[in-house]
Amino acid sequence: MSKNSDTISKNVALVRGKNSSEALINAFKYFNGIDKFIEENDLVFIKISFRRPLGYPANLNYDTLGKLIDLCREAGAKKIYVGDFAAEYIDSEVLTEFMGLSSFLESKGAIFAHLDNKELYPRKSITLQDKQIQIPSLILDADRIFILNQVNVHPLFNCTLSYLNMLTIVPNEYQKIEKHERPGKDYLHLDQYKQDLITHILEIAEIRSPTLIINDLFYTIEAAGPLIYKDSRCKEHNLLIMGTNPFIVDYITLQLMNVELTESKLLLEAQDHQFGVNELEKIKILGESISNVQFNFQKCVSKLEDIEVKNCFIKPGRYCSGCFEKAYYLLNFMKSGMSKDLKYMRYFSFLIGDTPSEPSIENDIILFGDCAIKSTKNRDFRNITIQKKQINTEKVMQKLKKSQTASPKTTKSKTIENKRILELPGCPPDLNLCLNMLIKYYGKEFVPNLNLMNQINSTYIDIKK
Amino acid sequence: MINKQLKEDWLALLKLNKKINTSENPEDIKEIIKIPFTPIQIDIHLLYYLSQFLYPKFINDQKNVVDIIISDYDIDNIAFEAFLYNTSRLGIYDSIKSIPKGVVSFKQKDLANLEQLFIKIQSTLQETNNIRIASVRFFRRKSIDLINRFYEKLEKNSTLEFLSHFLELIQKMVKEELLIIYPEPNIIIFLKSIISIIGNIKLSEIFEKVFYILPFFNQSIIFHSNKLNFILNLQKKSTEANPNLELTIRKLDLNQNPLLSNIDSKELSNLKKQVKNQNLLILNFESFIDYILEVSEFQMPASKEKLKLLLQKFFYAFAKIGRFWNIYPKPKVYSTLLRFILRLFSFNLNLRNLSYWALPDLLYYLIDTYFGLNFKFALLLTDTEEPINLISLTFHNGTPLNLTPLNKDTLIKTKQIKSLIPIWNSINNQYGFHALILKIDIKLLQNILDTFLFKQNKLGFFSFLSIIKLGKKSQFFDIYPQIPPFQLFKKKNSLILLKMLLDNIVDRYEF
Repeated sequence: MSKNSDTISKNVALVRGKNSSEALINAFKYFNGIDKFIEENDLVFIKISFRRPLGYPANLNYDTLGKLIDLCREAGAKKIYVGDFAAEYIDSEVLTEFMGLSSFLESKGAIFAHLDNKELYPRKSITLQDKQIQIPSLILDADRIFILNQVNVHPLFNCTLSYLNMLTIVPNEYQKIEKHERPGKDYLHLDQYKQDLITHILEIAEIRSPTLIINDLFYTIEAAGPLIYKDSRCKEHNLLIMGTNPFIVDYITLQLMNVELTESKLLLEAQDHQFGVNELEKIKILGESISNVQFNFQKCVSKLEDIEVKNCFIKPGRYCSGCFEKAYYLLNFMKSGMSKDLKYMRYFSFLIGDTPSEPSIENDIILFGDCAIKSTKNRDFRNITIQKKQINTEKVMQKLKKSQTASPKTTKSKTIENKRILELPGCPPDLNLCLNMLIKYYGKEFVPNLNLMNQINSTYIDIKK
Repeated sequence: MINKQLKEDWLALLKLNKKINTSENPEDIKEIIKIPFTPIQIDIHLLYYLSQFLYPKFINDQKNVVDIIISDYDIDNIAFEAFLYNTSRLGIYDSIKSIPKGVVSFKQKDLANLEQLFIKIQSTLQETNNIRIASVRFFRRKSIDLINRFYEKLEKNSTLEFLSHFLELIQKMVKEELLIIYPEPNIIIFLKSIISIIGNIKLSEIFEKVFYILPFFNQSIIFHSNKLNFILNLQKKSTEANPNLELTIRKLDLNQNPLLSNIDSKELSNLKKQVKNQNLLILNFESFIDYILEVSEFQMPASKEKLKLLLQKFFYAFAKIGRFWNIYPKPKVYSTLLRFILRLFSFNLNLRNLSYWALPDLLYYLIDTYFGLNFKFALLLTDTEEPINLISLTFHNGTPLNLTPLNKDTLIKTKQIKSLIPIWNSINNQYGFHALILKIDIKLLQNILDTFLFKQNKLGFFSFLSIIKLGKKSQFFDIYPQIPPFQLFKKKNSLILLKMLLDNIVDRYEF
C-alpha cells in the first residue's frame, strides 16, 4: 500500500452487488484485494455505527461487518476488534448483549471492544487545540483502522457521513462541544454551534487517520432519521463506497445522492481544512459511474414546523443547530411513538429558541432549551389572570328569600402564575431527561405510550450513571 | 373429458337453481345438495344465498359467463370446448349451453392480450347467441386433468385431506396460470401475490401445520345476515390415526338477531346444548365478508399504511361486540361489575374501549425500532422444546416480502432446544443475518387460541395474567437477541406489566 499510497488515496470504489457481502468483495477487487490494506499479524480495529439498540439500517449491517471480518481474517489479521462508543447513559456491554453483537462477533472470531470500560481499554491523553481529551489506546495503537459507516439521513449534515462516525472514536464527554459565545458575534445568527461542532469533528478525525473507509449505502433511511421514525423510509440502493480518504469517500457519497458540495458545510470545511484534496477532478472512481447509479436522496425536514405532530403548535424563535437537532429528535419521537399520548395531552405549544412567537394560554406550553426559557421570563403567558365573580352575601340571602330584585355582580381579577408550563432546560437539552420531565408533568396515566417506551429504555439506559 | 361425478354434481346444482328461479314458492323446495368440488352437504337455499352473495363480490358483478377449455399446446385453435352460462341472477348458474366447435376460435398467442381476446369472444357470442358475456374463464387442459384427479379422491378423503388437496389445487392453478379469468378478479391477484410471498412453500403444508398447532376444539360459528342465518360447526377431533376436522354447515332459523347483546338467551342456550359446545361465536356475515374482501383487494406485499388500516379495522371490529360479532355466553371480562372492581385497582380492562386507532401505530413503532426497517427474522416452532418447524420471514418497510423454510435438521443439532444462540449463529452463517430468532411453543399458541377463541366465554382478568406468565417461561417463548422490549417483558412483574399494557391498549376514557 505504501508504494502507491498517493494514487490509492485518490481512488474510490463505487460498487453494486446482489448483497452487501458481494458488494464488499467487489469493492476490494478494485484495490487489488484486502491484502493491500492488511499485513500479516496486524491488529485491526473496525469502527462501526453502533450506539443504540436499534434495528437495521439505524444500526450497522451485520452482513457487511461479518464479511469484512472474514476478509480481514483471510488476509492474516492477528486480532480483530470491533467497537463504538455507545450513546450517553448506555453501557456498551448491555447494548452488545441485547443486540446479539457479542455472540455474532464471537462466531466470526472477532472481539467487541467495550471502549467505555477504562480498565479493559485504557485511555491515553492527547492535546487537541489546548484541550485535553482521552482516547482509548486501542484506537491509537491499532495497526489498521477501518471505518464501516452506515449512511442514513441526518438533520444537520444531510446524511451520516464517515466524519460523523469518526467523532465517536472519543468518549461521549469529548464528543460534545461547549457553548462558546464570541464577543461581538451573534451566536445564533452565525449558527456558531454548528460551526464549532464541524471544527470539533474535523479535529477528532485528525487524531487517527483511518486505513480504509466504507460508506454502506446498501439500504439507507431517508426522509426522517438517522433513528427510525414514523416518516422514515428504507430505500434499497445496493451500493457501497470504499476509499482511503474520508473526504473523498464522503464527497462521492454526496455526489451519488445528488447533493452539492456547497450544501455540506462539513465537507466544505474538511476540504479547506486538510487532506490536500483541492483538486476534485483528480478523484478516480472505480466501478460504477456516478451518473448510472445516482439517486435523489430524500433529506429530512429543514424546519421544525414541517414536522406534523398532532395537537402541537410549534412556535419557533431564533435557534441554533444544537437545539434544532434535539428538538427534531424529540418531535419525531412524539409523532412516532406517542400517538395515543398526543390525544390525551391535548393541545400544546412547543416554544423553541430565542424570543419565540406567542403561544396560546389555553394550551399547555413546553419551553424547549435555555434560550426559550430565558427569553420568555417576562412574557405575558407566564401569568394568567383569573376573573372571579363575587356575589354579595346579602344579595344571596335576599335571593334565598325569593326577592324579586336581580343581584348585581361584582368582578375581581387575580393574576397567578401559569402552571401549565413545562420547562426543558439545557443548551441543547438532554433528550432522556426531557422524556422523564414529560412523564412527570403529564402523569403516567396520560402518557401511557411514553411510559411504556421509558420502561423499555430503562432496561438499557441508566440516567443515574 | 370432465369427471362424471363432477358433471353430475354440477348439473344437479344447475337444475335446483333453475327450480328455485322458476318456482312460485321457492321456499317449498327443501333439498340438501353437495357443494360441487367439496364433500360438504348443504341446504340448497343456503348455497343459493351464498352464491348470490359471494360471487359478485369476489369474482364478477356482471351477468353471463363463458367457460372455455383450452389446449396446453400451440395449435391452430386452442379452444377445445366452450360452455355458456346465461345467468339471470348474479352468481346463480341455472343453465349451461355448449357452444358448437369452431364458433370460438383463437391461438395461444392471443392469450397475451386478454382484453382484445375477450372483446373478440364477446362480439362473437353476441352475434351467434345474442348474449353479452361479462366474464370468460379459460381452463387449460392440464387443469381439467388436475380437477378430475382431485374429484376422484374426493369421496375417499377426510375433510382435512379434502381441504389440503383443495388448497394444493388452487395453488397449482393460480401459480401455473392453469385458470385464467378475464376480467381478473381481485381475489386471484391477491392469491398470486400470496403465492409469490410464500415461494416454494405449499399452501396445503401451511394449512396442515396450522391445523397441527390448533388445540382440540369444537367451535360453532353463527353467521348472521339480514336475509339468512347459518351455523358452521368446526371440530378438531382426535382419531386413532391423525387428528381430523369435522365440518358441517346448515341453515338456522332464529327469531331474534343473535348479534344484539340483550338477546333472549334461551334460544341460543338451546342451540348451544344442541351443538354440544362451550360457546357460540356469532359473526355479522356481511361485515365479515366485507373485511375479507378488503384484505383480498390489497395486492401483497401491501404497504405499511394499508396494513395498519387493516389492523385498525380488525381491532375496531373486536371492540364492537354486539355489532360485528358476539359470543354466547358472554365472557366474564365484559361484566360491568368486574370492570368496576378492576378499575378500583387501576386495571383498565375494558375490551369495548380498545384503542383500535392507536394500537397499530404502537405495534409498528416497536417493530420498526427494534427489528428495523429491513430485516429477516427466524420463527422456530417447538413442541415441548422439540423443534417442529423453522422458517425465515423477510420484511421491508414493515411489509412482509417473503417466507422461506429453513432446514432445521442442519441448523439444530440437539433434540431439545436449550439455547437459541448457536441456532441464531448458524442461521446467520447459512442464510444471511437475521435480526432475531423467535421461539414459540405450540402449547403457548394453543393456550392463546383457547383463551381468545375456543374458550372465550371463560375470558377474564386471570386469563391475561396466565398468558403473560406462560410467555415469561423460556421453554414456551424466547427470543435471541433479547431486545429491550423482550427484556422488559421478562423482567417486569406480571401484574405491573399487565397494567402498563392495558393502559396502552385500552382507552382511558369511557366516552
